[in-house]
Amino acid sequence: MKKPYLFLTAAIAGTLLFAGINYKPALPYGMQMGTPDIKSITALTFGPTGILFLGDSQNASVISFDTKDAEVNKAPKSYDLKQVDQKIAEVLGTTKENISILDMAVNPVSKQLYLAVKSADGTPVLLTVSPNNEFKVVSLKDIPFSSVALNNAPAEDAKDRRGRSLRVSSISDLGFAKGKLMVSGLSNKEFSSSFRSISFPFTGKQEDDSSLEMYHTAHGRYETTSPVRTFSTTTINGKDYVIASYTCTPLVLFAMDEIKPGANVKGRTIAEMGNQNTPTDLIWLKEGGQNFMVMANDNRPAVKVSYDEIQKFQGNLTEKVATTGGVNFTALPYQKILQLDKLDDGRAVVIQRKANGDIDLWTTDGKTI
Amino acid sequence: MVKLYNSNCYKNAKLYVMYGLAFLVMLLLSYCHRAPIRLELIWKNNRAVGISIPLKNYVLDSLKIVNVREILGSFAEHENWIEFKPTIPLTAGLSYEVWNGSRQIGKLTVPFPSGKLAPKLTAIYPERDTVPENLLKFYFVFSRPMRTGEALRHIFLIDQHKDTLKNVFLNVQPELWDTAGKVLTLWLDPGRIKRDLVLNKKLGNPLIRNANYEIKISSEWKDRNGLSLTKAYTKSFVVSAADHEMPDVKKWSFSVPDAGSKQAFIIDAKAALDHFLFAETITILNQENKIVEGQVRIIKDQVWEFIPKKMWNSGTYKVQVYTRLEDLAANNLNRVFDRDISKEKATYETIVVRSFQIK
Repeated sequence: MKKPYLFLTAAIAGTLLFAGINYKPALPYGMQMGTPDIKSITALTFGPTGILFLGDSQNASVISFDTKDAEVNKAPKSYDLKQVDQKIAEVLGTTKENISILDMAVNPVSKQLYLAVKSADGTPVLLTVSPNNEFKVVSLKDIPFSSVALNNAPAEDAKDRRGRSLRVSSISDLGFAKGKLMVSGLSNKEFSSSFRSISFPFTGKQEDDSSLEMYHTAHGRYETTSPVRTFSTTTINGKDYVIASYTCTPLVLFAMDEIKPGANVKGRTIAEMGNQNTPTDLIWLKEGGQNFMVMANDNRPAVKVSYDEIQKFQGNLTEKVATTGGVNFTALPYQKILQLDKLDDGRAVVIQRKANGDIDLWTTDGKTI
Repeated sequence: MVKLYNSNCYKNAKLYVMYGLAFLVMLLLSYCHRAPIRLELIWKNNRAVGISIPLKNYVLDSLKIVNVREILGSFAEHENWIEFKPTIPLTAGLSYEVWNGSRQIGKLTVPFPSGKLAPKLTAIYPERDTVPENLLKFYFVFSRPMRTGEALRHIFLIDQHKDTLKNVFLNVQPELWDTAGKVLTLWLDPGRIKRDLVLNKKLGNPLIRNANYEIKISSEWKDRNGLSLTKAYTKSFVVSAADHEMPDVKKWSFSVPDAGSKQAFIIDAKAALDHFLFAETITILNQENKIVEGQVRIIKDQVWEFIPKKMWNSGTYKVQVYTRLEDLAANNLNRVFDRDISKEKATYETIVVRSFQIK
């Protein structure tokens, strides 16, 4: 080889060799590397591929982080682990009385199961479980993350334009749809409802962050503010809706395009759920080609409602004279479901308290809901 | 070929095996008699957050900590010891073994924390012993951070027939605690209180007018360090008529201190208000519209007492009240809890202001 070529080759080789050293791939969604301040993990939901949102009720914040768990799994295996609380306690070196499972989420891409666990002393732990029942701790140190404070308003002075403070002391549910993170919260002081829709990636800009309060009217007469317990999203006749369950029993639909800063949203009540109904999760599943909403309850049987019923029901139980008793529910033979998430179109992963007190993790068979 | 299996050769082999076994037994015995290594717990805020293992020349990968099975955690190397950091603090009363490969090299048991640190219930709000029929919430204040998620296993409402009432409190998970984990907010089921809801019609209000009740807190409730409450607690109260009126700042009476003093400025709200909101929604502003600093004390849910840091000057002061202030039935300064839209109007003020003169 001639000398100039030799130099050229060396230069190219050198450039290629050292190019990688200072090259840092930009983190997705405006994330930064670091260790987020996480005091509790009380709610989980997945966003875009591999992005997990952690609701930290104690800090009144939501952290998004890249799990890098993004390998597509088209044929997910079932999860089945009896006495899951006992098994978690064992791998954490304690007894089952000392842990609680606060939320569960299936990564919709990899189908990996994530569990938010809290120990008796309050330490939050994020675990994954494999279908072979192996537990792993998901480290939250030095991770790509971004976060949003839910009470970022300087205490008293920042309120929505109608003068209500929408402060959160507890996140009741998280959801992600159409590029928006939705957070429902409760306050430990005033009885108020707070529902926020925040654009993701988080921009910190006010126009990308809507807080609103929701009201519930009983028989066209008594109006109360109504905190949301759990919610999901759906599209009805081409319009996006949030379907939410309030603390005081009704199941309510409200249009996503009404979620604007300071809006006063009144949901359309589509069903009254009855005594001590404490819904834990809402998901959508398919059965026989039909879409169903499945609602788990921690004390009563889970129920399913067909999407067609919801779509057809144009009434509003909040009117003076309710048109009917609302949409029809079918009670499912599953009581005391503590956690519920969708594994694929037909199957759900369930954590259930059995009659003998055991807490089991299992997967529905995909044939019937 | 036959020679290879002669009896001599076989005899020797047997001997070798015997010697070998004896050596193995001696070797094992020598290991068994090795003094156990000194393990120590690492404590932080009365919690066992680690194990210190004084080891040198180890292979980190071969170490594991076992309770019922190997527990999840991480090892950190220090100069002459290894630190095991469990994922959650180690549990009092449980034993943990340290294994190096297939050999157990030590074991320790986590002691229970001193009973002197046991938690107490320091207050229940509302403080008064008469509450409206549509009372929405109780606050429970503890001296130490408590275990959360289990409040309804420890708090009971008992009626005058000594029956424990079911379905009176709303099971909210996660529960509503302050950030320190010391103040719990517990709602009476709003679905039963809100007028005209199906639940309200079927089951009625959780509390009934003129009835006597006891609220009991079991001594089995533990704090986050595993210590139980020092005793069981009881609060008795009687129920009065429902309150469907907004608190009215115009009806409040002030007792005004003298200029040049550090006497208390006192508001009598004439009705019981939410303890915590009462304390945090009121500020005193001076003539320059600056916040006057001082200490606030709430007396029997009704009286707001303010002792300033500096002496009062003569002039006009403002009492600024945020309208999110609620009474015991969650009626705030803008609307009643369950507003009858055919009769009552809601306003959307943020702040209500009154003033007083100091002479």
